[in-house]
Amino acid sequence: MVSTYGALVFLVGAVAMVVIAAFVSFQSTEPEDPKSVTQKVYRVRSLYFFLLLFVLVLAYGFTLPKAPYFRDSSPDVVVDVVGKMWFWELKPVKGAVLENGDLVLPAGRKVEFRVTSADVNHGFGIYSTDGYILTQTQAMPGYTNHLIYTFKKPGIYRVFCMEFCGIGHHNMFARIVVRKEGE
Amino acid sequence: MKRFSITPFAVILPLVFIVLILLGLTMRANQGELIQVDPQLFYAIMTLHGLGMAGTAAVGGLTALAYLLLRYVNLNTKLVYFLLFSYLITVVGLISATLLGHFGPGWYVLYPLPFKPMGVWPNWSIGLAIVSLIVLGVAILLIQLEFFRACVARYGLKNSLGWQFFTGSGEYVPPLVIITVDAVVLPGVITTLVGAALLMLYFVKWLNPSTELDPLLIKNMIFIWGHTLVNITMYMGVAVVYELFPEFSGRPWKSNKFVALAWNATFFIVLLAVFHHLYMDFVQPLPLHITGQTFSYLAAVPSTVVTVTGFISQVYKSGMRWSFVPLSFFLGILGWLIGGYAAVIDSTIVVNNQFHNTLWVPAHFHTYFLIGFYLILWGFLFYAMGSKRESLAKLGLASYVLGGVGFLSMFYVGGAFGVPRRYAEYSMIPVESLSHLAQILPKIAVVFIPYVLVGFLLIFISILGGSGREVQRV
Ligand code: HEM
Ligand SMILES: [Cu+2]
Repeated sequence: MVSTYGALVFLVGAVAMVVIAAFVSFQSTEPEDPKSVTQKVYRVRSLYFFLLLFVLVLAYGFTLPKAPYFRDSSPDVVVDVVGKMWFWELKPVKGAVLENGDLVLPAGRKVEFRVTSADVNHGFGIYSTDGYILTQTQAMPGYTNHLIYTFKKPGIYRVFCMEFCGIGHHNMFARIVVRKEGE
Repeated sequence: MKRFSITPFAVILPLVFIVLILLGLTMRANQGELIQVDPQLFYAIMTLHGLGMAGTAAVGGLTALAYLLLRYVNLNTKLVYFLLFSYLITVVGLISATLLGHFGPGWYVLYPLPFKPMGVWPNWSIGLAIVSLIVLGVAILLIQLEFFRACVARYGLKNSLGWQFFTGSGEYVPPLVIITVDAVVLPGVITTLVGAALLMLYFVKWLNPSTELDPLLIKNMIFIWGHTLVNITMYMGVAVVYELFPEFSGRPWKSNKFVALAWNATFFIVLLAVFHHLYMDFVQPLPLHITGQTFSYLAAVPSTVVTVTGFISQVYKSGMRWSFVPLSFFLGILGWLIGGYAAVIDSTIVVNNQFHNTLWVPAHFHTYFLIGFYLILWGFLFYAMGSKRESLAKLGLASYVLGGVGFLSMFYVGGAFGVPRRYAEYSMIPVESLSHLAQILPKIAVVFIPYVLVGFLLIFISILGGSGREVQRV
């Protein structure tokens, strides 16, 4: 889970900041000449500057290519998604079927969702069987966002609305049933 | 010497703030199923709370900046009062539109939701909300233009922007607070004009419903305006700290080449990081997505390398006394940093693909507002009112910060587990474990929020203990 890493990186950094802040403020009781303090701070500053640049460049180079825009196309399965106040219309175009109103997809295949909206902005968010958010894109009227995703495991996935769309926003869900191919 | 009384600001802004916290408490209590609020009312409250908090922060920041600039330049103080007057009209207008009319498209009013009320909010409430925002927008634009005019009139354009450091002509160096022209006033003016255009388009649409606007273009305009306004508000808080902290640390905090470079860079960072709000609009041109991540990451450089190290040189081994004002500034800068750090993480496109519109978003911006900007504002008001009620204020601060940390943690945990934001209720979520978690977190938050409220009341009472000190002309 990318967001779990994000949260952990945050926790570590936030604790570090609080510790540094506590250290600096506890040290404020014994006065020292401002000039020598400035010199000390400058020394740490240049070190910190290069460290920060290094971390930023590393994080940037590592994460940017993973952006969802670059998941290459040529999908095996195609689904049209239309957000409406306040439900989802999931229309199989290729390699998927509707069964009792549920969208049924094969596991392990590259799926392309072509997402748009019939009225206001919605957000098409896919949640795993155990309730973790996997990926999302906006559903904007007049535009179609192409979201590529491969469901690895079979199970019942959920669609949540991820953009506030009025009083039905908190009750705008859909199901996606993912089966092992051939079942 | 112009007379400028801070008192009306120190009374009105905190009163509105208290009401807005109560609205926040209501929302959290409803999400935790402790009370029952109709979804229509919930989303109207949410819209009022969001617009109100962002607007009050902007007005507070501009007031503080005006007070500090008055030390150095000749501002027309009538415009500052006009700002407060317009703000009051806007508050009354928005309260009517939301609480009476149930106008509830959320604080960033994405197109076309305000115009598709589905029978919930009447037509008059849409017009009233648009006009109310125009009233405040005009006042904000005027005061920003006045800041710019006054600084340039006294110091010249080049010096106001801090460019004398780059041309090396060794001219007179204006005080640090003047340099905020770069990162606050200029981006503010530019983007308020975009906001004005947006509100005009909305007004036209309201008068003539057959008008069709482009949702993607409008979304870009909304964030160019809204993101920037919120962002420069934060920098106004930083400017207050730059200007006032030295009075408590006893050490000078001067402009130099690095500071000038940092604030000039911030001009671009403020304007170009905006695009991180549209990562999940895959149709947005790719270069704009990349610009978003690039400049959001770059934001960490001037703020930490220059501002934080400057701040540390103020505090470290200074022998200073920690009275309420420097303490609130210190904690405010810390909250600003922690919230900013959470924002930078979320500005990573892959991470945003999961965090977008989860509780991570309110988590980070509530951090740098509640325990960031607003703390600095309370410190400023305490200072400007010349209050002496130290121990009461510190007691309030302790309660406010402890309560705040507890309240915020519940947002962060929710975000980490992908709980979506802006859900009036979580009971409909079809995954049992997530629905359960999403309802437990607000229950815990509701225990902490009264500590914020009571803490703030104590701070407010202490602020009112002063009678308002004269601006000292330098
Ligand atoms: C103790 C104080 C506060 C409480 C209890 C509180 C509570 C809340 C809650 C429950 C929400 C809705 C979250 C969601 O489910 O999406 C919210 C949204 C929001 N809050 Fe606060 N808040 C507080 C302080 C602040 C402050 C200081 C600001 C300053 C800017 C602020 C600005 C906002 C904004 C802009 C929104 C988004 C509204 C929208 O989504 O349209 N809040 N707040
Ligand atoms: Cu929706």
